[in-house]
Amino acid sequence: MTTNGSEHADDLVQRNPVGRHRFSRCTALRAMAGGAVSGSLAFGAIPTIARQSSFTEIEIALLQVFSGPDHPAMRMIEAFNAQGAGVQVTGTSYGANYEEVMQRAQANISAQIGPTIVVTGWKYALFADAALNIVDLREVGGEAAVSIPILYYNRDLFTQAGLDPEVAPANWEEVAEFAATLTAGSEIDGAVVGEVNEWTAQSFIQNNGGRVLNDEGKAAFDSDAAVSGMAVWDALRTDGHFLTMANDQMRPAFLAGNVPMYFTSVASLAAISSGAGFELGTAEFPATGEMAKSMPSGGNFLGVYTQDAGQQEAAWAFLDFASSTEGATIWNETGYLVATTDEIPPLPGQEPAYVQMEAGLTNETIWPGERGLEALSVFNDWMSRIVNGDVSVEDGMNDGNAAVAALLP
Amino acid sequence: MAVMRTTPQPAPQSNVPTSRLVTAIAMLLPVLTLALIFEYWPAVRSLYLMFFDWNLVSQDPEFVGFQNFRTIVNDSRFITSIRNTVAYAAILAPLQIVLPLGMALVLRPLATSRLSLAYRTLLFLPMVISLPVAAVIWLWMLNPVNGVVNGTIEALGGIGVNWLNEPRPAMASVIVVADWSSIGFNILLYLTALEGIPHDVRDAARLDGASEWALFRGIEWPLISPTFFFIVLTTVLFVNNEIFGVINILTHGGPYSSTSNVLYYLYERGFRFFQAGEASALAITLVGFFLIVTWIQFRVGERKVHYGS
Amino acid sequence: MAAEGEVTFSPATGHASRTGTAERQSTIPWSRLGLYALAIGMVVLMTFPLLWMVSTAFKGPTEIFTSTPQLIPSAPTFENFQVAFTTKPVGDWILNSTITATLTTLLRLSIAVPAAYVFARLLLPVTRLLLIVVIGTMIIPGVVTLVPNYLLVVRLGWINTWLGVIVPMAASSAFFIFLLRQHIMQIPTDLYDAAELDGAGMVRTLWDIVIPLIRPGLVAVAALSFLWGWNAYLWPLLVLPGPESQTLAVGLGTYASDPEGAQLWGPLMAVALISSLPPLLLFLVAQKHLATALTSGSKG
Repeated sequence: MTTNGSEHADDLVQRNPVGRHRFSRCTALRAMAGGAVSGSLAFGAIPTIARQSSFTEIEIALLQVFSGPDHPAMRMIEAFNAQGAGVQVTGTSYGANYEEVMQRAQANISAQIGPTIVVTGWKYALFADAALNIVDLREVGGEAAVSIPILYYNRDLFTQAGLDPEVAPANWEEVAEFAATLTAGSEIDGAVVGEVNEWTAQSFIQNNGGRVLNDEGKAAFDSDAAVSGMAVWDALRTDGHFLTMANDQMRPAFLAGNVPMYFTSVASLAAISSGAGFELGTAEFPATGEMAKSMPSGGNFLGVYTQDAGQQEAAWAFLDFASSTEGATIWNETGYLVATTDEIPPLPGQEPAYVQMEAGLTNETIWPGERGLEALSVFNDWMSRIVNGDVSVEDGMNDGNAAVAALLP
Repeated sequence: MAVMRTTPQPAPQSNVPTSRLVTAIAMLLPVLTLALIFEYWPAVRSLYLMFFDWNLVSQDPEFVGFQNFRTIVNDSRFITSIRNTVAYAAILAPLQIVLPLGMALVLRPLATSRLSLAYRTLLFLPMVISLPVAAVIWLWMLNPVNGVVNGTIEALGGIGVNWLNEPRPAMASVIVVADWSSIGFNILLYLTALEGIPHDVRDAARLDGASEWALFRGIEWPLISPTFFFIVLTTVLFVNNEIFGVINILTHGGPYSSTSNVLYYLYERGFRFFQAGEASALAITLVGFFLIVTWIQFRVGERKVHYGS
Repeated sequence: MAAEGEVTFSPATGHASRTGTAERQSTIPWSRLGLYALAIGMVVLMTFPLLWMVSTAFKGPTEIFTSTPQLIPSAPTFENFQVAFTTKPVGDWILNSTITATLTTLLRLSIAVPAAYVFARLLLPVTRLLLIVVIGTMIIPGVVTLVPNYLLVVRLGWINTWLGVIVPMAASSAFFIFLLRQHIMQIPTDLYDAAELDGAGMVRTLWDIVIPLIRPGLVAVAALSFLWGWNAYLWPLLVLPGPESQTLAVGLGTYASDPEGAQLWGPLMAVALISSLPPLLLFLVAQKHLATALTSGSKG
């Protein structure tokens, strides 16, 4: 039935546990989607007749932010329902972030009123799989929302400082140079802010050739490459270019025109461009020295979490639609990258992200084991301590590695 | 406004007709049923779950004995959260109990003027704002580069502080926001208690040459001590909840889990890491602790509070 | 004793003073000014965040994120309200909050008043024990009950219903019972005796005598309970999956903390402003009763 080319999440991860895929994520997803499409085509004829006489209702558990009436996710659902394929999809908000969604989904599943499809953050893939214990029938969804860290910058401030607004820094040395020029004329000491979390830390680590977890799923960020990767970030701060403040305070500082450079997810593109009162520029996440980048991707996928055959079919029908050109065009408006088809033009500002994707992405770290989520949180804390100067880079990476290793299987 | 001051304690009854007893139980039934189902049952469930390793969904939780307790006690973040909880309580409790009293005393003459209504409303306003909104506002005000707090500090010649990104300032911010949102209420309580003291009593003492302090100690303090006791009791019970609410929307336990308190730690265990067993173990410990604290308070309070006129 | 306001001459001190205003007359003018300054300072500190909320609600998008904070918008506009109402189901949120807060309050009152009455009037070992049981619920932190209650509510099929929100919230009435009990204990016993002579049972006494006498307390409890219900966040968040079925507090909360969504502060503050109005109005109406009721309730 649904045993077409789609993989189980753990299969996918075991082949390329964490780290660089031999082929890009993009290709992998395309393969899956292609498999899904062909699979359902093959089986399409017979079930369709049966489906027309019954109406399958499925529920999708979404992030709160996806469930506003005008959000592309909801419009995509409406478009699908309008097709009249015998499936009625309801999108329900399950929470404001991935944890809440997972928690409510789990509670509902245990009470037998679980949703059919759940939007699952990639970092939770293994945990969701383990927690829900539905090894056989849980499939990776065909439509994935992929996001990548990119650099946003204030073109107006660049121009004011005498820099060419079309040229963004390509690596962190250039960032430091640009920052020096930018702060020369302003009262504010630094010129760069960026989200301090496990994702951006992973970027710094991997761009320098290090790994957060190695292929066996063990903590591996006490390596020299990882340490010097993070040292680059630390240096930005000690040199006075990177401003430390609470993550929630960074975006307002950027949007208000106080800080000219800000790195965060491409998925926030729509939000940032609507809030910025200046010319917004986007660029690739700066590289570390001359090394080739190895950027992690983030985002989520729609996982099919039901054991019921009829529901699974209905779910796949929806997912096929979602990965088709029509569905993906609607979805693309969020800022998430489309991995399943090439025919959709990027949104203005998204181009750097696509460039990075073509160059090859890795998973964001998928944390294994029962205490995986706690390990994620501990890792986050250690990275935050390093970047904020609470602990030296060496100590932070070594002690952090030990702390995380203690929580992993 | 007539303030009734007859001795409030009802006489203990020895012969109660059964019909009365039945009616009484019937009147208590709704609250008891709800309390048992929605407050005590979860506590009992925690008592059971705390010996298991469970992630809220799997069908067979694993029995682990006291392992959950051991895990928590060995977690450095737990130790931090306990230290913080004590610190928060030690700082916030006086701020919520004594400071409003001081302010009420100072502002008392004002409270009887015509501006009274406007004044009381303004004091009460912060309570009306829901926490998530307050968080957005304070996040902006405390922004190191464009927030009004640092702006004012720098205008006065000082150096701005990185309010939410360093452990001590972050804790201070949590305390300030928690205090800000609820202190007005306590000031109002004290103000009204003070107003309730009849003027003639004060004036008689004053004309006898009593100083303000003696006035306070001898007359006012005993009369407002029930209010004081009430505020102490409720503050101690609610202060952790208040702090938790603020942490949850302002710092999320950060920076790097340094502002977390026990309730937030509990919340994380259960909701972020899905460790239901550990969360239950901690919950039961907390309940036990509060039981003891409240019991002590009642014993001490009963002796020191003056009832009646 | 001289009536308030009457002037008397005290031979002992050689002063003529107006009774009841003794302390005011002995206050030197400049300390009065200091008092006013302090009062104004306090008011400013307490209300400044709210002023900012109001001002942002009326600012256009380019005025909100400015590099130096501006309190007064130079081009006030209503567009934030427009945006908020068209992109989010704010009308639904307001309706939901009104319903849940009101119904929770009604339920709380109807279970708290009889209970407070029994605890005030009938002090037997049995009722003493039950009082402790009730007060004990205040000791259990809210976080502890969240998940078990959620699972229970799911099993009852009350998810996404008013019942699911209201009933568990009404279970935390101990604070109000405590308060009302103190009030009721202040009613002079002769009134009860008179009622008993008339042959009134407990219910009649409660209804005819007690309730009218504790009206200030009832108003206070109602206003506070409404406020708590209106601003309740964690529990309705769990029970009411959004967005149309959410309450205002939850809608605001998720609006404000969208991880990848917009930080649309203008519309957010517009909704926040609207959200503060009903509890504020309620407070204004009840304020006379509120403060005095709470205090005399905490006496003895």
